[in-house]
Amino acid sequence: MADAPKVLVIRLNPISISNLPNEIIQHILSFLSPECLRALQLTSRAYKAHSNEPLLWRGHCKGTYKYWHPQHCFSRRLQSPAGQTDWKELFYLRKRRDRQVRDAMDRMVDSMRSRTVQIEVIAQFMNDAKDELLRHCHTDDSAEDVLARRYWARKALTCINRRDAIQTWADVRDGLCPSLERALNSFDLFVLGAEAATHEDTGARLDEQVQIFRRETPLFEELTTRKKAFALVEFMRSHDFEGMADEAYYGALRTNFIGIAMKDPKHQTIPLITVAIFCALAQRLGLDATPCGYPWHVYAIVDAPFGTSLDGAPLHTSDTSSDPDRMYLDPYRTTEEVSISDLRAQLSCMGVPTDDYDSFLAPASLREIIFRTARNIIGAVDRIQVTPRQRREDIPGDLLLPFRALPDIDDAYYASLWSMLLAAAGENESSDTTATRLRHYFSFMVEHFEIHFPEDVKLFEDFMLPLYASDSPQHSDLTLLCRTLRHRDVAPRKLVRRDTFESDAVRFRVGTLFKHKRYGYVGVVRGWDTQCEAGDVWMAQMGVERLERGGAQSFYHVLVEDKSVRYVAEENILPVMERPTGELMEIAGKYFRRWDDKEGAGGGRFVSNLREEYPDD
Amino acid sequence: MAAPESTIMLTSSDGTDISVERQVAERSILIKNLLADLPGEATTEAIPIPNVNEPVLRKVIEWCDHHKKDPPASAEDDSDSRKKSTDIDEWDQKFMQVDQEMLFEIILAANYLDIKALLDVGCKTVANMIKGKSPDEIRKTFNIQNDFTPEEEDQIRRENEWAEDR
Repeated sequence: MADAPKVLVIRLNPISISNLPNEIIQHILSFLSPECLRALQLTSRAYKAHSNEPLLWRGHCKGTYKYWHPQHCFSRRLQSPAGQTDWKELFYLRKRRDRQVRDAMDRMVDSMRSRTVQIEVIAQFMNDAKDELLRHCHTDDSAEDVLARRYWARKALTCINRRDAIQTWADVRDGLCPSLERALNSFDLFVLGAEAATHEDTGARLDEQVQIFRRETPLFEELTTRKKAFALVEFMRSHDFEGMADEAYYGALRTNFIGIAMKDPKHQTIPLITVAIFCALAQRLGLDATPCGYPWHVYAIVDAPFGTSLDGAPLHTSDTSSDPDRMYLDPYRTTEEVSISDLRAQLSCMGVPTDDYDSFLAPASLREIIFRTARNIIGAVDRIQVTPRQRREDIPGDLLLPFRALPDIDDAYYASLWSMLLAAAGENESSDTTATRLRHYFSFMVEHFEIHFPEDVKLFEDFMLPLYASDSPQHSDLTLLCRTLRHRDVAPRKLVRRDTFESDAVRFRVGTLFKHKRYGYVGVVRGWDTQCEAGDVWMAQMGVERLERGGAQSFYHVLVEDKSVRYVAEENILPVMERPTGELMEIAGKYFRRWDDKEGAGGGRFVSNLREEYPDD
Repeated sequence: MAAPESTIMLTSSDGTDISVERQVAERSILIKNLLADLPGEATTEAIPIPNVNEPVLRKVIEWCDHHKKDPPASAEDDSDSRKKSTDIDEWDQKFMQVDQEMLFEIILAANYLDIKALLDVGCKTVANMIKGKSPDEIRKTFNIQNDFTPEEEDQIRRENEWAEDR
């Protein structure tokens, strides 16, 4: 550069990237992905420092991941100065966990064995696994393993959700006090799979209502407690939070879920949930509100702050007992206050002994509310189950929400069993009826576990086993079942080959979509036997000998649209030439990788993910 | 609220007076606040912009003029949660096709004049020049001197891999 013309030397201080102020460099870098930052930090010492700024990595943590394991205290970290956290390390920790989740997902999709083990690998990360699992839940339609990947990601995700919910109920049992909305929203975590309302979702929706309420009630803080409570009830009843706009919805399963209710624009709820929403909003507004343990209908209780009346007058402890000034509200039915004398009169009509009035007029414990919700859900499930399948569409409840917004009855029932057994565990078990009832629920639970949720072994080991004394029959039954399920999970599958018998003995292959000739339901073949293997009792019951070809024809294990698994004679299988419905696609992921329009005899077929059992299909 | 046709005068750092529609100039929060503080008659006087020279100021005004109808940026935009897209609309892309020195001058001016949207467009343009490049290509693009020893460079590479693969 010695012979460069002088005039250039004078102009040689042009502005360049390196002499931009730090804050602008940081702003530029905030638009770069972590990968770009990796390249940039290799350019020079200055850029190494720039690309390691905590704020940048905080942004990546926040922008890339929505869910965080409580161990990270994520929201508290966000409030503290950025330099106090190694955000870059935290980001890469999540990246590494993503990869572990991805690896476990790949193994789960590709092999029938050890799926429970893989789910446990994933579930140990709890919320830290959710973002990655959600990506798998939304696998692109064109992926070669789309159905299997979505299905197993959903399985892992719901297992994490259930652990979260069960932990909350266990906390109630242990005398910790999670919030009412959390205890109730835990029922939501059991249903709707990847679309389940998380505690954060529901909390945010409640916060939003509080904001709207405050905007519409500018003078709220100047009101007396009584008027505040009225203002809130009026707000709820004029903003579609009055429970049921249409009584036909009453008792519909979904009206028992606070998360679904908050999501639903019409907020259809039973009184208990309406009151729970009232209490959640009221508590956010600084009111002391709780649900009342009244029989049949749930009311809300609002107490005045200590030392004052509901109308703001000071109370002298000498005038009254130490009980706070209390009012009763019924946000489900009316904006008016409910008088305590009416409530007492009703109790008397119900034949309640006077000595018990106080307990029915007092705030309900969390455990009571959980019990009531669980019982309401079981009632709703029973009502659906006695309704013939064809008529279930008449049950109102899902008119306003999109597909998949209706809770699955098995999921809902399972939630109720868990919540009751856990919440009851802390209860005084002296009463015989309680003990009988619990034994009853326990046997339903064991059956439900084995049939629908075998992947929950660890939940049973962690939360259910410790509830029973080690010498109790429940403990030994459950231990045995857990051991059996674990063994079943890892055991190699029995091979069923086609070359060992005449090739036309079994006409339909695994993956064939069919309609039942007699009953008309649509399902898919997921396995077969060369002859009926169901045992004499079943064969007699089903009238197999009345079939044209009797029990000597091949029989198929099939998965039906309504989630049931059935066993069908070959002569009743009628292959169909249409695309399966969305519902069938979703559950078919358990056995199949994808639907292929070009496979099969022209109509398409599910591509088998059961090669470890049926290698030739 | 001033009538849209009212104009004001800005004086660049090199002493040139430039007349601008008030609505256009108010894309700059700095100028907008300044005008709000001034009594009505004082707006006829030229406002000195000591940090921005004429060519850059004209360029900035050109941008503000094109974007004068844009809705104002939401006040407290959390920079973390804002979607970090580097998409730039077509007109802005053309507008930013300038040499590096001008690009950085525009960024500095946008920063000084407090024109958030223009600052973003400028920074995104620079970010796009970094995207997808190797360390070597980035150095060439921005004339950055590599001051690492080979050992240091090696160690960073290893650290990077370790961060993800551990």
